[in-house]
Amino acid sequence: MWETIVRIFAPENILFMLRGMRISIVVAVCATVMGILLGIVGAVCKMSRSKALRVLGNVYVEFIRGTPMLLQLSFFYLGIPMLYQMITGKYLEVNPLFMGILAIGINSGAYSCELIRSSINAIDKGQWEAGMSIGLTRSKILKKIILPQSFKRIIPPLTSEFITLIKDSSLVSTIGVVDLMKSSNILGARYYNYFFPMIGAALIYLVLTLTISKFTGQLERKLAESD
Amino acid sequence: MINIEHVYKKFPGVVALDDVSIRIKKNEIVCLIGPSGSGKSTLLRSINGLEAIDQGKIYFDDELINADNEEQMCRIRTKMGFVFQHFNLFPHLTVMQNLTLGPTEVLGMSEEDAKKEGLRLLERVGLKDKADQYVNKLSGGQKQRVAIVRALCMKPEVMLFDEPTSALDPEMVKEVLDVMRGLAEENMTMVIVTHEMNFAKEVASRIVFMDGGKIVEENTPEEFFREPKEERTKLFLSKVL
Repeated sequence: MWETIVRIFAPENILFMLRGMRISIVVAVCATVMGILLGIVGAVCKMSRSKALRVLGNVYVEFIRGTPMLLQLSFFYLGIPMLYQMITGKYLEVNPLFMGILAIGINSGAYSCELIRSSINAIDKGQWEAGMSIGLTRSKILKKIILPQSFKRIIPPLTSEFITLIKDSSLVSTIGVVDLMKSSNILGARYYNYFFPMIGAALIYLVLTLTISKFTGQLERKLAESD
Repeated sequence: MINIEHVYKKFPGVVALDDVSIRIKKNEIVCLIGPSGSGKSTLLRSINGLEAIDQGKIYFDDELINADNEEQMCRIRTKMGFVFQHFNLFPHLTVMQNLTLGPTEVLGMSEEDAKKEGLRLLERVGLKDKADQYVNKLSGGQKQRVAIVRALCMKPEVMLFDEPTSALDPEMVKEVLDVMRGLAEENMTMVIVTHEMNFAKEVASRIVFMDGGKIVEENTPEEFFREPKEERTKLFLSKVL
């Protein structure tokens, strides 16, 4: 058994897994950033005075949260090129990494939207009224008064969203992206032993998530200090 | 200056304003008094468009107010200072930033001029040394004085006060009332919702007593406190004085 372990965790294989880890991080970071941007747009839509925008925001959030992420991912990788082909008759080659980030980012946006919205709603109504009383428009109140205050409350839940995405990014392994999950699968197939590569991948995921949550804890304490 | 005609406002289950009409002239100081839930605050908030009324008309300088018209409300609100019971200062900003936000963002004043004006007014309320502190470090009385200055920085034509001392510890009431006395001496037009009867008696040019969403009685302070006409007023005064 020891021999198997040594063979599987040879330096070049560890490097292979670390390259997979890098892809996992890229997917998680890009999807989180995209999710935050979409989340802000979604939150503004859901809180808008226009009914059409509110409906749009609701449909987005409910649709994404009500369907599996794996399905959304496959839809982007397989469904959209198919749709393109059906409409234009031409074959569309898509980059699995790009489509993976897009799908996970859109998925994360729906969750971030709710986080952002609830942190905006948690700001005292008096802050809106005070802004109105000095003649600020709604959008200026949002920008100058409400968002700066909700930013602080939003950081901790968004970092846990990031941790979730580090883990959920493993779904891109199903569409051919060689992330950490996929790299452990490849090693497993190569050495006819899935056990150790999976343990290895699990440990790397664990190091990533624990590091981030430790960092989050420190950040939270810092934010609490300035209250 | 402010003309209120037959205003109705309903909240779920209560009629907050029931056919209220009142005129407020320039340089007048009107104190709205009455029991809790009588509609005084709702009336004050309606003037500033913070509550949309169901029926009736409110004019400011002969312009009909529509609380749903954002462009109009923003313009009119710059002429009306509003002071809240719970101060509603912006906690993420320093005292000075609280003061300059309106003038720079709304009036288009330069940062420098806004600061100069802010400092001048802060000095008047005795808080010049607090300019660069965050507002959460201030006491209640100091917060309310800053809130009054924030409203004054917009150079309003009228100041609306919604129970400005109700959330304060008793020993801090005077410092806020003194600032308001100062404004009264400068002939600032003011509408004040208050439970401070002695203060009302001292500064008001007119007392308006409300109950159950209606104006029960209005009179000069001398008459109002010496010989109230309505039974309801007498009952109220006998309890609070």
